[in-house]
Amino acid sequence: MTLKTENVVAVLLFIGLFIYPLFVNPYQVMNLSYFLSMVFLSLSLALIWGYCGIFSFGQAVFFGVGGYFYAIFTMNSQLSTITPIGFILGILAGGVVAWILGYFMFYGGVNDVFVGLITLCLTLVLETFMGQTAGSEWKIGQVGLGGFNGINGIPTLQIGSLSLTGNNFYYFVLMILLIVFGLLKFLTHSKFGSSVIAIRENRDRTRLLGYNVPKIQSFVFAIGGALASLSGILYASWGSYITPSVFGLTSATIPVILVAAGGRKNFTASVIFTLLYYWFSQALSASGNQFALIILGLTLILAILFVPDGIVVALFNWCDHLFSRNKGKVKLEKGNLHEEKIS
Amino acid sequence: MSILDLFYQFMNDFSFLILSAIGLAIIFGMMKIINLSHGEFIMLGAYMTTLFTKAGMPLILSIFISAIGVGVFGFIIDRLVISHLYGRTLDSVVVTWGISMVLQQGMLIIFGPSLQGVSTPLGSLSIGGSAYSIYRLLLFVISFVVLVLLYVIFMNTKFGLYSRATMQNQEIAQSMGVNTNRVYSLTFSLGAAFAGLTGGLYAPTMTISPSFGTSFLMPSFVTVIVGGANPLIGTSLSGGVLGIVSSILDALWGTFYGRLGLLIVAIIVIRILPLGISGLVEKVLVRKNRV
Amino acid sequence: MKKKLVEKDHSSALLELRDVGKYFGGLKAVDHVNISVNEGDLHCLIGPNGAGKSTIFKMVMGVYKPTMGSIYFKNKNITNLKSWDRVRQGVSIKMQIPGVFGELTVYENMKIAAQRYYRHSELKNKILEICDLLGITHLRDEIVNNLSHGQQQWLEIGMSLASDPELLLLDEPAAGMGPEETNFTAELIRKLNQKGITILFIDHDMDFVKKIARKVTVLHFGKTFAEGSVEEIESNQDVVDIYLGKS
Repeated sequence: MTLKTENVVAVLLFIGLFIYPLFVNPYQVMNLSYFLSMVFLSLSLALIWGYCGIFSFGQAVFFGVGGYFYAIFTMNSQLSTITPIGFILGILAGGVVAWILGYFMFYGGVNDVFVGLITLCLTLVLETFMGQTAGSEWKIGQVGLGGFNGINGIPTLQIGSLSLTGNNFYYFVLMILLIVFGLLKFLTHSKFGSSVIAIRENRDRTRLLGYNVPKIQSFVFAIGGALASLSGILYASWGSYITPSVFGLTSATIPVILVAAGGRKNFTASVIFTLLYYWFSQALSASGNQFALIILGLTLILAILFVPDGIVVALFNWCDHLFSRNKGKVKLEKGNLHEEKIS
Repeated sequence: MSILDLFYQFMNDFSFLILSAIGLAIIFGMMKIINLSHGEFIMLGAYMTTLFTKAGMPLILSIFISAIGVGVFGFIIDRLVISHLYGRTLDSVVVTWGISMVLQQGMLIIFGPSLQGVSTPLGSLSIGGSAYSIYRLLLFVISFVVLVLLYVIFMNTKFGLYSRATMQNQEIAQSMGVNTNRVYSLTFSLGAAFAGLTGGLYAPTMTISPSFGTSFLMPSFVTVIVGGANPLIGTSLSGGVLGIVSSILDALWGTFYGRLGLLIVAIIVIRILPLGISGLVEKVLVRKNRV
Repeated sequence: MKKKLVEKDHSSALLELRDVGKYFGGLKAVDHVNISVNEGDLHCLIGPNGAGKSTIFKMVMGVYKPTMGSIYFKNKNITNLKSWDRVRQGVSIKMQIPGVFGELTVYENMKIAAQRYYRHSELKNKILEICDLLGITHLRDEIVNNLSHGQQQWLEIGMSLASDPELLLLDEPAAGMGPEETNFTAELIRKLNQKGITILFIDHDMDFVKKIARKVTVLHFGKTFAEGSVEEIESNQDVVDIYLGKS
């Protein structure tokens, strides 16, 4: 790792997160566990959109698949010791579903904004479908899908005899985040990472350099699906419930917004902006402030207009610039405003 | 269910799809901007129409003024925000989502969770024991009028010529002296005005609340996706096809399956014909001309 | 390092287009074309705009699927292979519009092109070797968008060399270059050919073609119009009429 603002901030952030529970009450720890669970969703989109150039609204699909899979699997078995298996299988399920969808799209030559549209439709299909499963005929095993009310009473994760609630859950999520973050960093700096970036920059050329582009795209999309699914499982385990609204338009769009505004080509920025967003929106809604959504909306508009590479990334670059000015080794990354094309 | 009922259902679905999609289709087709605040533009139209009507204006006039009002609003939004994003499709998604958040929440703050609506005019028509709303039949007619209007605008006016040229090739249009920025700006306003019109037309049939536009968003996207880039050919054909699919499914199994059917058709169409029905039509036409 | 050549039964051609055609709707961009490129050759395709030269390249690379006919590389039918498989077989291309990664550095560009074919320990040396050959070593940490047009063209030639191709397709390698850069490019192409790489290239500039090509195929309206050595083509009155006379 080189000494860049981003890396310094990432290290400080993780240290801060590790000691955070020492200073606050259990309620705040519980809240932060929820925010951390949602970070995986943003990371999944930062990976596929920021690094591979696949624009998707479908992360909500895999989030929901993970949550529902975990709920149905664990509630059917009634054994609390089985939750880790549900956890692992759920992640795989999200990955597999994403791979199948990716195969369907990328091998069929669907790309750019059309991926966004297909995934948007798919998530709305699932919302519509799950919304009408209120009747008693909609049961998988012993678990009713519950229509708009969703599934309640989902068991919390348990490892051996240790039930993951409160601080335990918090540190569990944080450890996983640390691992995932490290793996993502490693992945994107590997040979594989270069080919993924190559696909983002120029698909056609990458194909003509001998890369099997649809295969790589499907694979990255599957990893993204697994990450989103992980997020959904943690969410279901945290709140003990899941509803079709996880497939809704709002849920589908929020990761896109967070990643775009924070800085989609940067994992640290996505983590920070996601945490800030959830903290901010909760603080504002807890205080009953009706201007919360307006402020968020305006932030988005201003962010895209003035810092298209992302707010947090812009701050990182600015700091790098500030510190390296004397060394005369400034190399600001050029913004690429016009890289997305349609058709 | 009689054949007549089914046909009535089709007319309903068709006009709803066409009217909800038309503004979005113009903006997406001509500018490649995905306007996620489209639903909120429709909502604005509905609010304006309701407020004007309750202030004593005749319904037709207030719908007309709302369309113009939302068009002007669209022009302002374009100058302030969208004009900086021409050609950046994905960024436009994020920004327009932001706009939609602001508009929805703003309306909630100003007018509260819902507004006393205007009742549906014209009463109903009874044929063979079933009652059909005359207003809804009128909407079916209006959806055709709107398509014709669009045809006239794009085929018979200077603006239409410029905008078609810009859509084909922006650089060439520019080098021929077309002010493409102005074309885009007017196109966006036109799309917004049609959204406002739709809001006004449906205001007497639904509850007026800040989330009024949400129910239009999904059908409008599906129609545009299936239709493709050409707002005229695409929207009318896809409105027809989807109207048939959804009215049959509605009649057989209920609205849930109607919606589900729409979405599934959309997914299949993107996979097989990424450029939509109008892409297919244009391809066939080009082939015919060349041979 | 060089891949072993497949036994040749019926032809000594490295690349063979047999009766290949590409129609876009009613437009016959390429029509019943037969071309064979012999191993070690320095072969040029010329012809007026719209004669189908770039379309042929795109069919060889698998960007377009031919409407008819088949394409053989090392006597193996590659007509239905995907682009990336063809590259792995040993064909490589520099396209007309430079397909370099503008946001990345020269080194990163080369790394993307080369990493598939070399182990980590060899990668850096190989990249520097190619950069040396192209004379762009001093630019290795430069963002590609900051490079001159000529440098970008050379970089792209370098990227297409990274897979150690047996056949290199160059679409207008000297387009938009000044006289000095053009000379360098001509020298570079000759050097690569001497190293054993078979080269098929497209160019408009007859002086440039005369300088390096050993065999020329003239295309006209999607059909093969004439074929032969540079001298033969120059003395062919029909060719002069349709093409050379104009420029």
